[in-house]
This record gives sequence, C-alpha cells and structure tokens, in this order.
Amino acid sequence: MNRRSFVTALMAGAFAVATLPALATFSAPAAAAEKVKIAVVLKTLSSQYWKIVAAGAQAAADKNNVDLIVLGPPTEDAVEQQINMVQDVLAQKPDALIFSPSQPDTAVNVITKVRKAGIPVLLVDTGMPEKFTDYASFIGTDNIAAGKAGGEALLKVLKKGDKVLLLDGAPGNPSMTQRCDGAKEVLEAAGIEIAARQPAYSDREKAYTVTQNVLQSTPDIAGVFAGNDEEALGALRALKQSGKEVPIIGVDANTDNLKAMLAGDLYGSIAQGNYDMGRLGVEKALEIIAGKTVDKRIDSGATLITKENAQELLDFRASIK
Amino acid sequence: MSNDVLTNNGKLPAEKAVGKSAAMTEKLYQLGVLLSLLLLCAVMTALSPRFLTMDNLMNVASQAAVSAIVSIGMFLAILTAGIDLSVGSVLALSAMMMGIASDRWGLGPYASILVCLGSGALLGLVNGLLLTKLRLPHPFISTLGMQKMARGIALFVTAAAPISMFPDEIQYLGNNSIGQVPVSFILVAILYVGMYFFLTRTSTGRYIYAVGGNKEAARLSGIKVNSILNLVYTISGLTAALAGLVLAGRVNAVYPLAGLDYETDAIAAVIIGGASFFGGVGSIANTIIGVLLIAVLRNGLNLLNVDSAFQTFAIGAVIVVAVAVDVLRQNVMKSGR
Repeated sequence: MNRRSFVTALMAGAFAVATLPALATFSAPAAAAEKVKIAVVLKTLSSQYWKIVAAGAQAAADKNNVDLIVLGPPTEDAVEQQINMVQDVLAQKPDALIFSPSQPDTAVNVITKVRKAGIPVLLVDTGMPEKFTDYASFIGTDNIAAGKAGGEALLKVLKKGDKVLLLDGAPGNPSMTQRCDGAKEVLEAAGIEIAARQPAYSDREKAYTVTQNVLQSTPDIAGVFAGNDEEALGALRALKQSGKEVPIIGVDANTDNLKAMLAGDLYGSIAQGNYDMGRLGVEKALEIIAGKTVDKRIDSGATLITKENAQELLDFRASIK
Repeated sequence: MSNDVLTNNGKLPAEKAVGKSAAMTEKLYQLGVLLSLLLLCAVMTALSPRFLTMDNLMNVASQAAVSAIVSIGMFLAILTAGIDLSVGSVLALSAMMMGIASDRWGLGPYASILVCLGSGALLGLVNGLLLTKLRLPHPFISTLGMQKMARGIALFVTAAAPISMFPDEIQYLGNNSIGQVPVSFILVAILYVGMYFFLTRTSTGRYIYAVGGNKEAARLSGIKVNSILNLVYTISGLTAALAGLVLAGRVNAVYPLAGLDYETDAIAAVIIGGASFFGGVGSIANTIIGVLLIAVLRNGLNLLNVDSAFQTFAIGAVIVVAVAVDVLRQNVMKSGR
C-alpha cells in the first residue's frame, strides 16, 4: 500500500470516528424506565460451577425485577479478557457490580476505577488481595473450612498411618491452595501421612496423569483429596485403571461427580454454596443500593455430599431454570 | 533506496508483471477490511446505545493496545513467511523479569523497564538464531519451543506467584490517559506509523519484504537473509516485551499466565489484515485494522451481553472468511498473470 492510500485510509477512519457519534446521538433510544441494573462478571461461564452461580444470581434478579448483565470469559485463564469485561460493563453504568477475580492482583486497577465511578462492588467466590479493602462484601466459601471438611470426611474411612495424595490447583491459585492446606491440617493432625501434594491445574486430564505418576512411586495410596471435582474424576480414572478402590474427595459437587457417587465409584465431594453466592450477591447488592450496610464477609457455606444426599442435590439442580 | 531489484514493496522482477493488477486487488482488499470494520461499528452502534460513546471507544482503544503491539512482531514474522508462536510467553517472561528486577533486585523503574525490553529482545534473538544458526526447519518449531520454554521459566521464577504494586513509571504506559486517550493507544499509533515508514522507506524494511517474497532470490541479490531473519524475530521479541510492559501497567501486576494464547489473536489480526502466510505480501496498516476488528467484536458482544462461547466462535468465523477472501484474491491475481 502506498503512502497516499494509507493516508486516505486514515482519513476515512478518522471521518468515520468523527461522524458516527453524531449519528449515535440521533439514534440512541430514550432511556427505558429506570430498573435497577446489576452487572455480574465471573471467572468464566463455560463450566457448570459458574453456570450455577449465574443461575442463583438470575433467580434472585428475576424475583426482584432486576435487570441483570452476566458476563464471563471463555476460560479462567483469560485474565485480561475478564478485565476488559469489567470495563465494558462499567460503560453500561450498572447500580452494582458482582465480581469474581480470576487473578485478584490484576483486578485492583480496574476495580479501583469501578469504585471511582461510585459503583458498589460485591465479590463472590474469590476475594481481592488483602491490601484492597474497598469492596462492600465478599460472599464465598471459607476454603480452609471446606478443605477441613474434606479431610474429616476422609478420616471417617482411613486409619492412622495411611497415605493420602493431595491434588492442588494451578500454582498460585489461592482457593485451591487453601483447600489443600485445610485438608492437610486435619489429616496430619490425625496421623495420616501426606504422600504427595502435586498441582493438577484444576484439570481432569492433568490430575489423571499426576495420579498415574504418583501411583508409580507410592502404589499404596489409601485416599485422595482433590481441590476440585474435575481433579477428583481424573484421580478416579487413574486409580480404577490400576485396579485400586480408594476413597476420593473432591470439592464442588459437580453433576458428573454426583453420578459417580451414586454409581458407587466416588466417595464424596464438598459442595460449595455456589448457587447461594449468586443469589446472595444480588440480594446483598439490592440492600446496598437501598442504603443498608451488609457484612463485609459472608460465608456461603460448604456441605459434605456422599452417596446418601447426592440425589437430593441432583434434583435441586434439575429444578433450576 | 536505489536498488532496482526491489520496487513496489520489495516485489521482485518476476512479480513485476502482475504488479499492477496485484496492487489493485490488494487495495480493494484493504478497502474491504476497513469497510468491514466500519460496518461492524455501525452494526454495534445500532444494537447498543453504549457502543458509540467516547468512554467506550477509549475502552476499546486500551483493550486493543496489548494485542496491537504483539501483532507488530507477528506481522513481521508472517511477512517473512514465518510465524512467532512464542509472543504470549515472551510477553509473560519479560514482564516477570521486570517484576523481579523491580521487586526483588530493587532496581529503579526505568532500569526495570530496560530489563523487560532487554529480555524480550534477547528471547527474540534466540528465536532467530535457532532458525538461522541451528537451522531448525521452520520458525513454527523454534518459536513453539520458545513458547513452552519461556512459559516454563515464567512459571518457575516466582513459583507461579504474581508480583504487583508497581511504581507509577512502570504503570504509565498501561494505566494513564492524555485527556481521554489512553497512553497505550498513542504508543500504538506511534509504533504503527514508525513501522510503516520503516518497512516502506528504509532499505532494511524492503529487504524484509524481499526475504518474505523469495528467500533464494533475495540471497542472490545480495541481501543477508539470516541477519534480516534475526532482526525480525528480535523485533518480535521486543514488541512482545513492550506489550508486557503495557499489560503490567494496565493491571498493575505481572503474572506467569499473562499473555496466554495471545499468539492466536495476533495471528488472527494479521491474517484478517490480509497478510499472506506465503510471505512477502501484506501491510502493517491493515494489521491494526485486523486488531481493531477483533477488539470491537469482543467489546460489542460484551455490551450486548453475549455469551463468550459465541465470541470465540465469531472470531474463528471471521478468520475463516478473511482467509477465504484472501484465497479468492490470490486466484484473481493468478488469472491476471
């Protein structure tokens, strides 16, 4: 392309940018009747866990006649895309933002901007770095407590001196690390040996490989605690393959895992109150918009799910939407 | 430049005959890409009253900046019939090195920025040398190796922990605005205009086109092909590091998974911008349009509250359409011969 056509192209672009806003002012429809608008930006929408958070928020929004915007990047790794989404919902001037940072450190700048625009921020599932305190409320699982609950569930079926494998998340993922820390604390206190603690990146396939490898060095693994349910299923596959039946506990109570429990393959899972995170997020946001103060830390709870209560949870989920 | 061999963007004599009709279809394509961008903007404007506001357009500008800078290096690599799959990882490692320089070694902000840019240039040079000295068969392989190695080191150096809270100087490019215009986008404008003149007005720039058009012919006409390739990959590493600096400022943190998959967005932008995978054909001015097209698409779909699964699909579809149009264009050029 020669210089002239480049300049022409630039001019055409500049012209478009200059004239389109003028057109927009003509075409912009008059503001619709003022309905409370709440924006939700999650880590992703392409996993069941986050879809349930979104469903909880949507149910509360429908009940309270709230206009809800729900966004989330295609994967939890798409950190910058999540930041962009926060920027993009900010442009829509919501009355409150419900947010779950994929990488808390990276979100400080953009959340500071949201706060400068006077929009209250409620965090769900994952908090911001400790030094950042300018949020209205953090609604989420106490991950250490969830890990402890998982550890205690394993203790019911293990005996002193047994070897346990801990499957961690991606290095630097605080909630996965805290869950494993919680489980480790309870297990070690009861005299259980932690044979290995390996990152499995919250991923089924990676957990499968890690478990296979650990079984090479420690064939007498007697139990597994996985930081999430995908990892639990990966571990299950590796253990089944080598003909071992050991109790596995995951976290999240995903549908696949509930089915595996009912089939007698999987011991259990710690259910996070993810539906309640979404629901409470919207309800507390409405309280804040109405001028009330809410607790800065709200525990959305964690429940042990085993074969006994798995069907109940499946039915509850089927009743959603 | 007075080298007769190279005229018309470095096209070689054999291609001269088709120069005119090729230039015509080239221009038509460029116009088409620009029109697609404008059309997309018009559609988004019609669908969302929030799209065409100053605030939102400046959001798009700041959101496009990192990808735009990465795409410069990718464009050069593709122009030489190569590819640089390591840009996302080089971005992450360079930014991590800056974080370590600032946070662990206690270097000042400017020295830390130099560490960032130096790391990127060095990693890029290694990419070049793997190709030209070690003679790995295709940059796809050398840069794929670098992608994994750099990401591995980035994860290793801080045991995967992010580093945050940088001094204002480091944050300046990514976090500040002049008036309403993000500094990062002004930087993008300067880089693209500079690169445009470098590619079309300097002999080195034209050699890059020549090497991409036909390596053997370029070598026979006295161009040091290996030096040009080393230069191209060094620039690509440098632009990736610069993008890392902007990203670090934007989020006030560096983290080892930064820039994950950014190579695919950059490749998409360059291809949508009409550069040919066979090398020697393409314009940097169109690359920025490709970048903006993707950024507007993402932003607009966010404003419309569209599921991100569809966003991913839509960008894939745009790539396929762009390349299909490109193939059509190639056929037109061939029949013009």
